[in-house]
Amino acid sequence: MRELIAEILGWRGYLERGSIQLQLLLLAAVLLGLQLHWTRRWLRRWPRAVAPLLGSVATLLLSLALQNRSIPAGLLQFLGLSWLGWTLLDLLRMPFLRWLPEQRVQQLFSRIFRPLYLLLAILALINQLDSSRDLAVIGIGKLFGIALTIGNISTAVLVIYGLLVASGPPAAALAWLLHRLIGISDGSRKALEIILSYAVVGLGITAVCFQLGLNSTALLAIAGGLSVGLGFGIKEVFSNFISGIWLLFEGSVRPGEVLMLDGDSCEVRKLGLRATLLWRDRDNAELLIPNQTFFTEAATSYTASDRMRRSQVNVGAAYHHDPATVIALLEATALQVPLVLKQPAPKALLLSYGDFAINYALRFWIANPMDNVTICSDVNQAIWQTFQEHQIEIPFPQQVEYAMTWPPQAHEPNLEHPRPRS
Amino acid sequence: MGGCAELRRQLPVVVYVAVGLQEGHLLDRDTADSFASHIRQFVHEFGRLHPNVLVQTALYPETELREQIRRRNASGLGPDLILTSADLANALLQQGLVSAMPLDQEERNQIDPALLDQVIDSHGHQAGQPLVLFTQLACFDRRRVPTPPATLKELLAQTATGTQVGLSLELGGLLWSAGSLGGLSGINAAARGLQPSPEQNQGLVRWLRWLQEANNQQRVTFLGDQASLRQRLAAGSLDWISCQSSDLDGLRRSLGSHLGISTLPDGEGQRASPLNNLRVLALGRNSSRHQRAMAIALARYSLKPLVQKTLTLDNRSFLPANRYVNVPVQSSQVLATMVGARQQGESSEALVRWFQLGDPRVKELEAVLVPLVFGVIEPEAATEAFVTILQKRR
Repeated sequence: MRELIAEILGWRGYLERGSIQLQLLLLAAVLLGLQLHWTRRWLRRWPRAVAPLLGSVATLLLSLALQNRSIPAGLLQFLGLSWLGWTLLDLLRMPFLRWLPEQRVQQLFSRIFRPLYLLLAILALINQLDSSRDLAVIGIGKLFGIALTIGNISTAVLVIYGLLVASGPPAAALAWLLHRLIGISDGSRKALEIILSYAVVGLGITAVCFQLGLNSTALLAIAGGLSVGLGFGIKEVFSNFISGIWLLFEGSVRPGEVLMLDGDSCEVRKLGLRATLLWRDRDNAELLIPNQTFFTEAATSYTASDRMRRSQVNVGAAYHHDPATVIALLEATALQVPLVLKQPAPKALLLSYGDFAINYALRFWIANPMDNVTICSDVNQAIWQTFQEHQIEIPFPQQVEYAMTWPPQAHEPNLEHPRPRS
Repeated sequence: MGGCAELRRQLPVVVYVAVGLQEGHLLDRDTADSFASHIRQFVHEFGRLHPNVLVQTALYPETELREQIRRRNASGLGPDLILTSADLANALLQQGLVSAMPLDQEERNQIDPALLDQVIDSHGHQAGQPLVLFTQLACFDRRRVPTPPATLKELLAQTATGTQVGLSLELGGLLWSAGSLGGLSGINAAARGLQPSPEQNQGLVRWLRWLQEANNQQRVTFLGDQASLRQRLAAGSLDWISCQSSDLDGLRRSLGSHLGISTLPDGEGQRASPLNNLRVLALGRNSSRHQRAMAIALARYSLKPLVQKTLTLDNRSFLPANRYVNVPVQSSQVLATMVGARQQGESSEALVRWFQLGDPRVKELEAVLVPLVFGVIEPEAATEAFVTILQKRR
């Protein structure tokens, strides 16, 4: 490591060269000029993205001018080209947005394209300043008798990062193919996608270890060490990870599933290494719940065997309406609401005789559990309309007060509206 | 202003040295460590005279060095000193990628004139300052070759008793045998654009026929490059190979005390013609005033007899360029062998002038050598093809 630091510190020697000073001064002038002129009105008319484009082109033109005068300008040209490339990378988003959702494009750019470009640019800059192949063989220590160099460690890190970010699309494609061929459910497809992705990453990491020169004995030693570490230090992390894998295989918590959490229905968005990301429709909140929670605590799922949910609204009708009429009206009303399933058919029930109303329940089935609140609202509105049309009263709470007769046996009941006891 | 000058004096000067790795050497951890230790030792001593100097080295395969220097010069990031072969230094000077090395008369006097002559262009400019000479030798495993063959006849005789011999299919790895078989003067004549005399032609045919016949021997193996020969000797599947003294470091690591070296086998009354590889220091073009001054100081320091002697004795892989350095041939058999190889190589020094890295004629000649060795074409036809190719102007 000391060798590497000495090497990097040695690059400052280039700064004493006139041609390097000139190139860096010109670049600084372009940056400063751009900053100062952007405040002018004529430039502000342009979109903000034009500024780096102008800057990079100006840098390239300056480098060409230096070259014409036989002054070394390769560094300035390289920096200008890198800057231009970085700017043009953003323009590449347009064609991608035609085919992929914005979130996916954002992920592609922030996790793959931009880091990859940055890495290549840094490598190219190192090649300008030094010999990258020479730097790659600088040793940074030994592990199980294997000499580790900057080159093989960087390659290992790169490969693992590449596997982590790039294993997703092929795994998704394979899972989609199986989904189409075998007809597995959408939830299973998502689970399979994650399992495939983990498998690729796991195999990749093992391959990287072998590539570094670690043999199976060394890998076993690492695994042993990790076990102790996991036992004491990162037990929770490991427990969550294993819970996640288990849940995936079990299929109880998979992306797309709808679970009840604190009385709210939530959709599983992503089953991560440590936690599950849930989306709560009520307030559009995203909840990160440790995987262990689902593993150790009871959970209600609306999507374990099918995605249908039986929902219910309660309503009270006045005592003077015939319950059979009210029940028929309620069932007919539910059938009119678009998102209520026709089969199984809605069912209205007389639940109880309340203090001031007969209590009914209307039970109906819906296809998407996440739409429950909206559909219940629709059904309630439809009931109000129907009751209005058929002059069915939804009574307010009322109480009749009268003087007590003594002895109570002398009291005469009001028989104008007979009221059976429940 | 005075303060600035004072500050400037206190700031260390960084001297960038680009080191070309000879063909057949991989840029790996061992090579880098080996170079680093040699250079560290050398720079440490130099640092006593110039404490304000930092030397930063970068290794490049010699085949890429020219392009790297061209690219880096265009950026202003070129090295201050380049350690490379004499022929590449000449090519770099010709293409304006390095500056001529300023050597005064006293310094010229110290360098072996034959070596100095290898890096002077037609305008009298010095492409580089000779540093050390790597020689072409025979390397063998002492356990299987107790007595190294002194002649080609002995070499073939030893193969009959079980010695596995490895030869290179590269021209540079085979030209030594042209001297042993009388083919060298014909090559020299053709390379100068002349028609070889019938005698010279006969010498060429004799050399090429020997190569073809050697391949028919059960225990003679021709391999594509020097690195393969080295690896097979280290692995024990070959017992005797032609090698460069730059290979000795790696072979010592593999074979230890079992490694034996000797001069390449001579012929009947004719000496082998090894191609010895002169390493020189050339001056970069992008240096600041201080860097240039320090680069020249470093080059001059490297020529000092004491430095040259220390380097030679510590490495035992090359010979010094300073002719006033006494090589202790009595105490070191390795150095004595290299001195012998140097004397053998005097006959082929004229060849070195045209046998340059990247000369397109080399590839053309190798394209004739391969079918010849494998018996596809006759030695007479190969001789004709050789002469025609050699007579082409570069």
